[in-house]
Amino acid sequence: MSPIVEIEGLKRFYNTPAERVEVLKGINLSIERGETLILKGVSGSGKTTLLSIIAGLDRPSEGKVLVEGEAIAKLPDNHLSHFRGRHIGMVFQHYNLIEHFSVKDNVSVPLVPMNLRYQKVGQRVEDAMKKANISHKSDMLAARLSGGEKQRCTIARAIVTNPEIVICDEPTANLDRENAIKFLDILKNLHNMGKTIIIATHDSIFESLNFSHTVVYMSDGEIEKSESIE
Amino acid sequence: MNPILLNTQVQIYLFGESILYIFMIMAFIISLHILLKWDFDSFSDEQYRLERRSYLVITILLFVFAVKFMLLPYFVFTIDSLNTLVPGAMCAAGVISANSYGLELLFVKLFVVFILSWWLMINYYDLQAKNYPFFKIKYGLYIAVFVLITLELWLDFAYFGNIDIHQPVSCCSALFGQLEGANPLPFGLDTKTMLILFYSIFVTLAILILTKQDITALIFSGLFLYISYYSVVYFFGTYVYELPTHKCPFCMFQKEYHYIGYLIWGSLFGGVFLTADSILCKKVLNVDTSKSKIYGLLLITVFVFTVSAVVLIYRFQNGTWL
Amino acid sequence: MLNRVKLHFLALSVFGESSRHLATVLLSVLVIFILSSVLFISSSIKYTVTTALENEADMTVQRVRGGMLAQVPLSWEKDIVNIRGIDSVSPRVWGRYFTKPKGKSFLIIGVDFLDSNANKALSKIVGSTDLKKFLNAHNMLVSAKVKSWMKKRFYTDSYSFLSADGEFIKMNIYATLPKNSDLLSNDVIIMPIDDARKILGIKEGYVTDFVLNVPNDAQKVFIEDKLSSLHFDIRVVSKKESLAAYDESFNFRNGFFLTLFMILLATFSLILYQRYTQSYSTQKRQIGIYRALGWSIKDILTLKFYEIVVIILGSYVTGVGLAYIFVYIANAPVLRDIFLGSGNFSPDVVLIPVIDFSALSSIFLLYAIPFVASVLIPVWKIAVSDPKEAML
Ligand SMILES: Nc1ncnc2c1ncn2[C@@H]1O[C@H](COP(=O)(O)OP(=O)(O)O)[C@@H](O)[C@H]1O
Ligand SMILES: [Mg+2]
Repeated sequence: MSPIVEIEGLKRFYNTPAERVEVLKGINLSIERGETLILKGVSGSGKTTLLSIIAGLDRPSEGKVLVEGEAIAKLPDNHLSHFRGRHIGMVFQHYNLIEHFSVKDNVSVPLVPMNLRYQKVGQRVEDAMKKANISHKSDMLAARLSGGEKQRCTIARAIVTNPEIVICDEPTANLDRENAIKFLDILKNLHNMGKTIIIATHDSIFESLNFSHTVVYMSDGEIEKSESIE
Repeated sequence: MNPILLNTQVQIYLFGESILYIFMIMAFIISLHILLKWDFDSFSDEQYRLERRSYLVITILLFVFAVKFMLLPYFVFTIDSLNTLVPGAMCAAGVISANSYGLELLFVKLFVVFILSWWLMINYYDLQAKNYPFFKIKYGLYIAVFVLITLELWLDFAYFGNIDIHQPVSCCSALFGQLEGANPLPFGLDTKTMLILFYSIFVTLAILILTKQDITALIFSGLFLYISYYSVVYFFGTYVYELPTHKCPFCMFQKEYHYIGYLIWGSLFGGVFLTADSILCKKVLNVDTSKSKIYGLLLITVFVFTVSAVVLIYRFQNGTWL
Repeated sequence: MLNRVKLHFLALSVFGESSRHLATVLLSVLVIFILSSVLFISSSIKYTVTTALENEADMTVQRVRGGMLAQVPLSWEKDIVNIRGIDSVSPRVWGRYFTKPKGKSFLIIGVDFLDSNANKALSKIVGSTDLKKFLNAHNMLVSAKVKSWMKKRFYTDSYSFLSADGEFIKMNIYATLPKNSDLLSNDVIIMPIDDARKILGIKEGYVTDFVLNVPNDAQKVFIEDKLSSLHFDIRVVSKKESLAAYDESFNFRNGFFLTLFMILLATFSLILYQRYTQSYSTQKRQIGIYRALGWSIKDILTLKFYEIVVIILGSYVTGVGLAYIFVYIANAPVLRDIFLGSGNFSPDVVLIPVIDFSALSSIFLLYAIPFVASVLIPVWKIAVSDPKEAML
């Protein structure tokens, strides 16, 4: 089977008035279906930029990016957006919940463009909240949740569309140690469900991950090395 | 100042048209930019900016279409209400013939709605594809729309600015009534043959649409529009007015006739436009438009049923034909 | 189209963020309220005038001498009757009578006992009272306004007019005119034709004007031409012309209001534009999150479109409803005086509820087009918010 993500010669630069900032300098990467990949690197090494491009949130300046066999770099907006909605679940560094929405409404945001029936949406939202262990707070406003609950709400939202790929950017940066360990359990669940997981982090807690995964080290917009851990 | 230009409705109408035009200019500039700079394969920021801007053009055109769609009946309504100011006029027919710009304006208006709806249809298919295949047709056509709307705006002001309220005009009975012995119908048709033609063209058109004979269907929808105009003015209309001598395409927009003109002309033009737009899209873009063609046919059918019902209701209420 | 899920999100963005919309809605309601009040009053007055004029004769024949209206010889009647297509020609004696103090004026209308047409109309007004009895003595019918004016000056059951020859003629107040079309007849006095002649100084054998009807609409223009060529000093005024004259005077007032509206609308648009532009910074993030989670630009535009439609329709219905109550139930205090003026016997009009399509559609267009026009670009800017926003 072909890899779920294939990246070749990916470059991303910003043209500032003063100079051309090269943030990604030719990335080659391929991720297998069901693989868990940890992107490590210091702050500013280009992790977020790489994740954004894989998720179709940002456009590459050069190179080839295939996700699920689709060349997402040049997809028109409506196709790209719907592709993103169906195939990719996002867990953001700052949770990015809509503060004045309830947990339930937050979780249903990705389902809205899909034109599903109301009951079906409700059912999927229930499911996702159960899996992320946040069902008991379904009617609470997102603003009132604790850090750990916000994280679980975000995860419920990420998996509500049943995507193949889950992308997490610094998922434990705002969590205490106890919640961070809980997050590792959830990751394991996702892994067991067969999801492809891509995580950008510089948190050492991921060294205690107890299932097979790949660690990719990034520095200054380039991949230094990658190692598989059983 | 010309009292016509002081009329509240005329002012609101011209105000609306002018605002739309400002947006059209904006969209025109962006379109030119897109036509010149567009490079789909480019990864540059400029290209992505153009893609975002293209959504502004789409938004503007949707806005323009929606408002034009509302302004068309409002225009008819306005000139109808002006009949109190123009000597001799009894309904919009007289007012629109107050100067030579009137009819031209009406035609351009209908054509603008037709072209705009076609543009929106092309846009729909353009967005459905993954590589904006029709962007050149789309923005090229927009340039044409812009020229047309410029003409329309000029005609708007030329028409309303040049209605002389001291110059008597003819009323509809003089404009559409039969002069002694003269037959107003085309090709020397009589009413009976015209009606036979009307219904048979309708049936043929329906069959052509359902069997996907596109080019022939396009020709027949034009023919149907043509024959329908005469049939409504010289036959079905008389049943709306319940008077065999009252022949006018405009009076039926009035309250006395329950504004039925809006339904009759609206369904006719809406149906024919939708059908023709769909066929044109099919032929030019090579996309599947069978669904919208069916909606067009449905609207045409509503039209045929409405005008037939008017006649039949009269027949049943009065026990006799006109 | 909207399914239930989208409706739910629409409700969330309209009512969940009601503080964002509150000022917009209040402002819109105010604009629509002012707009519709003015248009409601004007269409109500227009309606009253039009229906009153509708009952009038089709054409009036006058005589103009040296640019002034002159008395019309009765002999013209023969010439007029001779024209084919003319129906029911009747001579009229009427004119303005100016009272001395402060120059108030009455409209005196003389009624001929022998004129059956006039009598029919008059019997309707007088109703049960005996017509002959009324016409045989120095009796008059006065409008409610005139009566109360006289009463204030202690003329409770009669009033002495100073005739054109300088003698006083005492007329008894026989009855008060019914109060139906007060707008046109608020200063009317109806009296027998001979008394009217004396008071107005119209010689025997002369009248103020003739009125006539033309049953066939198609002949009107032609007959007007024919009449005009009867005498060098004849002037023909058609009903249509008087309607147009009234229309024009209302347009003039509306034109004045329209200028005010333009200023109001320009301010309104500017405020809207500013509000929506400012809300960009707060919404940019939320929309960025939506976009990152799979909403396309089109999805966002659709949501925003419906949001605006809800706000526009909601404000429209509220504003028009309030204006309806203000104009037709509260009878438009203050605003009515601007329209009707407070000159000679300012009419005590009850505004008849007239909801016509023209006023309603005009209000809608005049409000909705500038509204959408001013928020269109800010909304587009919000809709194309970069989904990368969510990653920052
Ligand atoms: N819009 C931009 N213009 C210029 N430089 C940028 C822009 N966005 C990000 N960068 C730069 O790209 C580099 C990588 O950022 P990022 O991908 O967020 O790294 P990480 O997530 O590893 O901390 C940083 O040095 C940042 O300053
Ligand atoms: Mg980062």
